[in-house]
Amino acid sequence: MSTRPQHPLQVVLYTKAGCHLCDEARDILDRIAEETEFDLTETDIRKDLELFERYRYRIPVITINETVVAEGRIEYSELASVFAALQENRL
Amino acid sequence: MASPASPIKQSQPRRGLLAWPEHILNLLMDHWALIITLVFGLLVLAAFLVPILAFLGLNNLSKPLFYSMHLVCGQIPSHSFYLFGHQLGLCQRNFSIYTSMFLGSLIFVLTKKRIPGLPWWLWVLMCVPMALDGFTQMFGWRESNMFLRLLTGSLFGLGCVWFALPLMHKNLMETEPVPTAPQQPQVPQPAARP
Repeated sequence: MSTRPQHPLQVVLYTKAGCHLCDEARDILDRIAEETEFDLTETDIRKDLELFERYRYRIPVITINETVVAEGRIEYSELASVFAALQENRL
Repeated sequence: MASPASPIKQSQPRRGLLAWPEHILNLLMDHWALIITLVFGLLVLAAFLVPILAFLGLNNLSKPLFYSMHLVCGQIPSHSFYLFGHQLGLCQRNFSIYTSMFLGSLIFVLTKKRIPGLPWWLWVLMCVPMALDGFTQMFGWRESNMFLRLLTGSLFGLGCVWFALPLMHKNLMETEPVPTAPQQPQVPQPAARP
């Protein structure tokens, strides 16, 4: 019997061009992707006025299944532990 | 026959590589306040350069500058100023600290170091608001705002340079130069006879 979840986590990275912390967040997600399976969508907040107003002073913002799990200066250890906890709950 | 040993010419100024440490030391002693002012000024300038370079599309320059400034600042996006839609290299509190330190030390240099120093208790008093604002926010008891970060950071930065720079100047002025030992004329030793 397989222990892999049927649907991978839906991860959204809210970002913007020229956002250096977003590049760092993307690198962290790449590292986590080596161990955890998830679907990543990158969204440029400038394409949606509502998103822009909500996240302009918070990006990078990472949501998993539509819940904000990390924002601003994101640390690998913190985000990895969130992914690990979510994966455990799904197994 | 062995030639007599040549006298050591200690009184002559050092030249070449040996003179560099002395030159650097003299430069630091003469212009220490200006150097401190330049360092603070460069930090503030770099904070502005980050968003300007990003706006111009020069991310290859902006990004390493932003990352290197993380050494002196947490760079929390929600606590930062934005220029052209891009985050400054320093957060609001650090920006106000370093700007006030820069302006304070610039005034100190421009007045030819004549500003009297703060008494220690007034310096502590100027640090207290930032400590209260920062720690109560850090422990999650309340959330600060831009105005408080700027005000308390400026008080702290100004207090630090106003206390430290005149004190440093006073101590450097009071330091007696190390007296050099009087030169003894060296008499050439006669060559040893067999």
